[in-house]
Amino acid sequence: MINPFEDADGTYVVLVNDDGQYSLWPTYVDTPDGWTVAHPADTRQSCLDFVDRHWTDMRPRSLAESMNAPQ
Amino acid sequence: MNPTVGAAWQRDAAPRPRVRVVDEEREYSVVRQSGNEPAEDRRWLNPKPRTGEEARPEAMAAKPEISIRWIDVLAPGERRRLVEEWNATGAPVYDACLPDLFEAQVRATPEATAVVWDATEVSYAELNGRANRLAHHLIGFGVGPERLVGLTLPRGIDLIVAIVAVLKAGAAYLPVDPEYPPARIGLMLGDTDPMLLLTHSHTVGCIPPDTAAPTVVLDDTHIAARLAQFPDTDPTDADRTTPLRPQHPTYMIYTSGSTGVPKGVMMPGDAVVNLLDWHHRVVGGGVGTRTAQFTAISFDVSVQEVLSALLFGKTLVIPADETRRNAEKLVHWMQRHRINELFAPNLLVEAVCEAALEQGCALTDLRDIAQGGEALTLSRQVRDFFGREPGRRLHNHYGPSETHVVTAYTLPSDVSRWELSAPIGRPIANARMYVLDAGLRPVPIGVAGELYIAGAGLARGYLRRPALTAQRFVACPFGPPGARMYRTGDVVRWNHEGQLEFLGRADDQVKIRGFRIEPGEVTAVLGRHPQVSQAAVVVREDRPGDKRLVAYLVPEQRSAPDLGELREFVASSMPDYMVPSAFVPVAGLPLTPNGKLDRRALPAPRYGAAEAGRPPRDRREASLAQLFAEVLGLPSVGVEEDFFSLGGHSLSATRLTTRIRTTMGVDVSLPTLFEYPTVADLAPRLDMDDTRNPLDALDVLVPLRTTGVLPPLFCIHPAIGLSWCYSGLLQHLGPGRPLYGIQATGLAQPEPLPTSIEEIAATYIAHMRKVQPAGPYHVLGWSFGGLVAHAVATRLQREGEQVALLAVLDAYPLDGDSAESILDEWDAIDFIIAVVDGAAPSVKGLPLASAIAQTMELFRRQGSPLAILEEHHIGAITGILNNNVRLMPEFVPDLFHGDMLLFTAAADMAGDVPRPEKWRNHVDGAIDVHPIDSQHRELTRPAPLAQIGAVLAARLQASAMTTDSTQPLAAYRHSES
Repeated sequence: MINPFEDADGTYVVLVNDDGQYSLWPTYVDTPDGWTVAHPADTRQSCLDFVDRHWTDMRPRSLAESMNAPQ
Repeated sequence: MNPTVGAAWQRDAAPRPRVRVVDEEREYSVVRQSGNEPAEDRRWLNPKPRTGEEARPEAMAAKPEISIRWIDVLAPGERRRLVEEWNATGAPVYDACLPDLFEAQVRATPEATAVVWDATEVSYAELNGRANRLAHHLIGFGVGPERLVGLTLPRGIDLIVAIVAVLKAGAAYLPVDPEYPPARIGLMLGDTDPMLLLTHSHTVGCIPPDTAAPTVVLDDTHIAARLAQFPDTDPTDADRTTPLRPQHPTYMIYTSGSTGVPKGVMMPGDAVVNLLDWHHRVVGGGVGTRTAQFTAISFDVSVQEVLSALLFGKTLVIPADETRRNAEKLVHWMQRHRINELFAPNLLVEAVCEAALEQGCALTDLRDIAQGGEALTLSRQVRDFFGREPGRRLHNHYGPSETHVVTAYTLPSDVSRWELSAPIGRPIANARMYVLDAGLRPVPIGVAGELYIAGAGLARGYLRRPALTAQRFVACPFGPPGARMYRTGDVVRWNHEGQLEFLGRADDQVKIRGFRIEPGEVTAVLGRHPQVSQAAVVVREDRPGDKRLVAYLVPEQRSAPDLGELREFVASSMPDYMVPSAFVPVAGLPLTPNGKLDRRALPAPRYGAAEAGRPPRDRREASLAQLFAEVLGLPSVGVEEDFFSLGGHSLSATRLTTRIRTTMGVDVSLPTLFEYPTVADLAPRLDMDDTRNPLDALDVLVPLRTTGVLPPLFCIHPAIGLSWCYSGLLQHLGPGRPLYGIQATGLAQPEPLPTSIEEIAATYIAHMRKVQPAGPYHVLGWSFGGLVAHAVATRLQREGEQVALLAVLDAYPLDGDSAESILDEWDAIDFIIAVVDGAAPSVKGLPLASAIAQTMELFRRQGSPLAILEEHHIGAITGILNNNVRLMPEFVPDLFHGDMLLFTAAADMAGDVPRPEKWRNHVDGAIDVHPIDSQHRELTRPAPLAQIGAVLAARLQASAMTTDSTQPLAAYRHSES
């Protein structure tokens, strides 16, 4: 009766898409199209810590790039 | 009663692999069906074929030798329907940003009235000019895309100007309700660190003094003068700090969610534009349409409310706070101002409808009410109000703050076609809904699952909370690559029309003893009672670990509902576990500033009655206390509390005696109850038990219920030899069905151990015949008892008797496979305990005497009749247990002529071969398989037993109507002394 993303004792990976958005992901479900593994199988808390450390700019990458492009 | 269809998602985090049954034509995929489904809901066992869908019954008919009815899930057509067809919501999306769309409207209708506040009316052109000046001022501060501006403004024109101005600058606005407690405001501002705060002289005081952001007090004369100097032209990208794109956030709303820690949701402009475009296509309207600016600005519905008006030429009419808070004033105000559209949460919709009816305000101009934010309960007042005006529309909108509105349902204009509750509807344009199980697979139509939302409505995430965002906005296995979906925590199901039905919160549900509860359904039923004006049903945990369902009701004026009668009214429409533990009358339902139910302000129900005095000393007292509590509408009753001082009266006393008769099979006269009005005094006077010896609990025949005109159901013990575990079936089988447990010989005094299951069967049949001399017989057995039940059934048939029911709980012939190794006394005690309390710790490691003492204490507390066991009984039970286990592999079942009802413990099925197959050669009829979401040893715990009981009750009822019984209909009485 636990949601697959809420299992404190579960094993997870961290996925990332082309826009630089991160997602927690349970290891027993296939990685969806368009996502790659950014952090390999680990505890839930370690995965979340990884996201906290790396996802510093929450703007979608495409948006951030167009903001930085010369106008 | 709405069928409570299975919660297929409620499984352990590691989902069980699907069992594949392969034949030449197709693969079946079997999912563990863990429903609370009553047997009447046969959609899963015998679905009616639909056009174009692979019809499962036909496939079954093609293979007549496979008569096991599997639960078949997601035929290819169904999956496509769920994932794609019902989500085919693609619609054109404007690439424009909100300011562009507003400005286009201004150009189209500059003189139309945009905002009305009190006596003041502001045209589109004027609103635009004022917003532009402020926007340029903000831009001068550096406000622009990716920046946040806090709004701590009272209701009024300036608030609307401020919203538009912030959007024009390209920034996002953060509404900060000035009425929030200072601590919360401080937290929000500290968390979000806005660049700037727009405020008013009346509300500037709510801003904590240590706030870093500069404030602009809009009604300050100096500020007003400065603003007048800015240009009133529309800001362009050239003016802005950086070009404005649709993906930039437009507002930030704080939401607390179930964990209680508030988080800020950043909503990008393109999501809002999508919503508004859809909304306009559904609701329509334009210049001249008057929309009440009713919702609190800190509630995200306000975005839809304000912008759906301003982007389409409508008029926003703003009521004052004191008008909003008073339903009578509000309806008069709406009448006076000819309001056409209202957005409000459920309780307010109810209040408005009720007030309008009471005040005689016809509100003929009110054409559209959009409910969002809560589950819509269609109370009498709402039906009445809408019934009077056929053109009036009620829309049910659903969507968490993280996505805004994503599904919608418009109720039929004919109120008589309204059901008990309204679905939340179909996804809006460019939104996609997925109802998934714990393995993130779509569940079948009609099955409950958790809702995940994908598509255009997704927020960017939570401000400065990447980890939280990553666990709620997750990768989406469907739709375009790289897409995300938001995990709502809401439990929903699709119906066959492609609409979603909201069933409740996942966390509310999992917490009541494993039963899936639908508080909304209970609320709806309660609301139908003529003496109830409004109701709310919530899950409370006033004692840690003790979750209860509590109903709050606002009585109709001048009425004092009988709480016990209310309880029975509710109980007549739904399963026992969904009946609230307590009914609490309140003067009114408390609301948050957003108009939603304020759960924290609800009073705690009266608990603790049972702590007064000693606990029930035996099962009889425990049962009586439970009945007292039920009839009185209380969570519990102490054994020394007087029925009448707790609120009972002669009417409820009669109800109590009836309940005692049907549940305990005992007649208690009213004078007796009046003379002995407490459980402690009454229990000894129940005639059935005056002469009973406590050790009768260890007899072979256990009379769980002796009364009833139908043939009894005999329930055979599991390996441990005891059958008190079946007493939980009493409440699920009708009062007309006697119920007997059959226990192993040799419990009370030593007897030789039987040498075969066939021998055991013969012994039990002799005992059964003392109660029921001739068929039709109804037999059930759990685990080891399932094998015995089969042996009993075949032997009865050989003797020429009719067997009308053979039910087996998760037992399978071993066909020579070896069984468990030797078990000891501690194993035996653990087995016994597991039936009574699945969470109690193992007794392994304790000295035997302590283990027994601890277990007996547990049983005493539970009121179990097994509280009398001593060490020599435990020794006997251990011997019986080991012997039974040894007998199992040697048993070769005969052939039973008839159907078998087989319950499987779905939570611990392993391997690839379906074990029900093992009965194939021993049953020549159909094997009707019902997976129960439980482990084997927990099958007689209350939640699984309720599911089993429901199926049994239906099957027994069906058999009672078709069985040709030549026995006179007389009560079967327990005649063994």
